Amino acid sequence: MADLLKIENLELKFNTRHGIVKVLDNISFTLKPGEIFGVAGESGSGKSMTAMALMRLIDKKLIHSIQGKIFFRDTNLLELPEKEFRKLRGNKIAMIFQEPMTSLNPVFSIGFQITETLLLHQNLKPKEADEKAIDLLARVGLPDPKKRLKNYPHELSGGQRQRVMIAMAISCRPDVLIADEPTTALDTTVQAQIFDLLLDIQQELNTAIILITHDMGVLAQMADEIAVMYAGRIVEQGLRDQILDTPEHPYTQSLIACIPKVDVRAEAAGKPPADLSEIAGVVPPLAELSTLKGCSFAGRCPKVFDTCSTLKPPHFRLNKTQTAACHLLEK
Amino acid sequence: MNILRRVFSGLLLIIGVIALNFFLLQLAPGDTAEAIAGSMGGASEELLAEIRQTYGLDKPVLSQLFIYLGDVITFDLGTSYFYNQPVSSLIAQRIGPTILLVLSAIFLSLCIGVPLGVMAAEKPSGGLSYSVTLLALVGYATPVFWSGLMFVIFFASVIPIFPVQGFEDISLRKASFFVRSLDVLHHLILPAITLAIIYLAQYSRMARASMIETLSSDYIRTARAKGLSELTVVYKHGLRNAVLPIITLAGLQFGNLLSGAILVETVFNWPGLGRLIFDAILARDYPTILGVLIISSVMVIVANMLSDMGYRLADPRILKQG
Ligand SMILES: Nc1ncnc2c1ncn2[C@@H]1O[C@H](COP(=O)(O)OP(=O)(O)OP(=O)(O)O)[C@@H](O)[C@H]1O
Ligand SMILES: [Mg+2]
Repeated sequence: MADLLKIENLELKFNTRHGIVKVLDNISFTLKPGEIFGVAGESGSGKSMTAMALMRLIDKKLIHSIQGKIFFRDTNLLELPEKEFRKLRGNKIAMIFQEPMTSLNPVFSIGFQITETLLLHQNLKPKEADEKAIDLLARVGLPDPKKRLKNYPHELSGGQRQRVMIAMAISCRPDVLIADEPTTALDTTVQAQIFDLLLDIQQELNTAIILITHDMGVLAQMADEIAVMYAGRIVEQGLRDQILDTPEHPYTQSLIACIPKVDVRAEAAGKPPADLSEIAGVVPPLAELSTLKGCSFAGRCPKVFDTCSTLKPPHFRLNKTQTAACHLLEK
Repeated sequence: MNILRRVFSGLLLIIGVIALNFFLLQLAPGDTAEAIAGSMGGASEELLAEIRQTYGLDKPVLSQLFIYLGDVITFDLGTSYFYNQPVSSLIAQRIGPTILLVLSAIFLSLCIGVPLGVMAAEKPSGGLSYSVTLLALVGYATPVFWSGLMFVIFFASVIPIFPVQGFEDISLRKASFFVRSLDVLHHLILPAITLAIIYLAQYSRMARASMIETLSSDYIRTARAKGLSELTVVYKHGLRNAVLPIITLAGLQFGNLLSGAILVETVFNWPGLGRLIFDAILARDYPTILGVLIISSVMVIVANMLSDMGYRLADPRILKQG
């Protein structure tokens, strides 16, 4: 199948107080129509920045340089004039965010905010847009959708607001939907509902979803393909089963070990389920990373050896679909 | 219900203001009867006693207050010692020009200050942004009477394109309504600008700060993610939120604006309440002073209520709460 989205060697640098820092380093991946592409990694690994770069939503004042190519079908999004790109944004490429509580404008009604997108990208009369908004709210499972149109965000719960965000994002039947930790702020039962909804939508509209999360367990259930990010870099990437069953990068391995349910042995031994914080140490600060010669995970890696601190590991291709960036694979 | 409660507490507030002003004026040095007699030219003991009786000055202070309060309820604000006219009709003549002046100043400062602040917020470290900060500083630090006097000097002698005194040109008394309105507007320009300068500075600074904060919020990112143009993002999604604290500020500052108007009216000889109270203070004309104070406190309270209601209309979050 033809690629829907193809990201080639995306590199993003920021101007910061500590000088120029590399936030994204050589990011490459492709997305096929209807595919769910999972992105995992700890806080600060650059997941959101990858998404924001795709949406071209990063504050221009921050950007020192952005290089590489982002092809949507045949157009390079990074070269598209702002005005042309706006026709795609919110229309064919849409995004839902991590913060449902604050992502809706408090002074406009739900109906207004949904129809605004519809009227912007589609040739509809206000009346038709209203009807479509009601359909959308019903589609995302909001009870009493007609009444909800007149509600304001503060009258809805977090889960309901995230449903509204999803309704807004899918209103123009996007080809690509970026979901950046869409459930982090919600409680567990609601989380499961939102993921179910996303799966339904993906099947119904054949929308490709980039699903960002720090929870490997979620990706184990939903993703077709998984990329693991660390310190602005994709350190391992492959089909879901490859990543889950034969992870090659030590960082991926420790992430997998953190999936509570999969870790049967730990449970049998009566140990509490592990979580991410059990990987000792923290991600080095960006400013430090820029001066680092070797592998950015070296400081925390259980399998570290000499080469790791002197040479940055390239991406090794393990087979047709899996790559990993670790010196261990050279041998 | 809600509105009724507000009106009621507003009324209580006004009664409090009257009582307070009343007692403060009692504390002022000097004898009222003597001041009145002085303005008439002579002061025999008999005359003083007569004056005291006519104006009720011989009664105990507290009963003077209650008599006064009773009169106020029937819109009788007493008779001016100085003008020998009912205070209410004095106020009726003067309130129009003051309201015109104050509203024009608010209008000018909002219409110029807010867009200026918004544009500055779009580039927080740009040249315009620094200019707004500087303007705010200068505008805030410049006393109204000084900038007023500078205008007077400049437009009276250097380029006399605007009149610097009064409300209208008496020679146009017989002209059509349209011509007279234009003439009043022409007279209004300098006083209104003078009064607007301070508030323009404050509103632009406030708008800048409020807008910078708003533009960094998540829903602005959502608006951009929808594909809206930057103009729509800033002026529809941003400004609608950023304007909320400005509405409050405008309401809270109405009182300051009125006191600023006293100075401006004095400098430009604008026949409003400010000019009236200024003359009344010089003449120790207590009924007039009290009357103007009451009317201004009513105006301040009404302005606060209006801005409160404006805020409620603009922000759905507090619409349904007490
Ligand atoms: N406004 C900013 N200014 C400077 N650096 C920033 C800014 N926003 C993000 N960064 C840096 O970019 C890097 C990547 O951040 P990003 O938000 O993409 O992380 P993330 O993987 O999404 O983490 P999380 O799981 O917490 O959402 C971080 O190291 C962060 O410090
Ligand atoms: Mg993030």
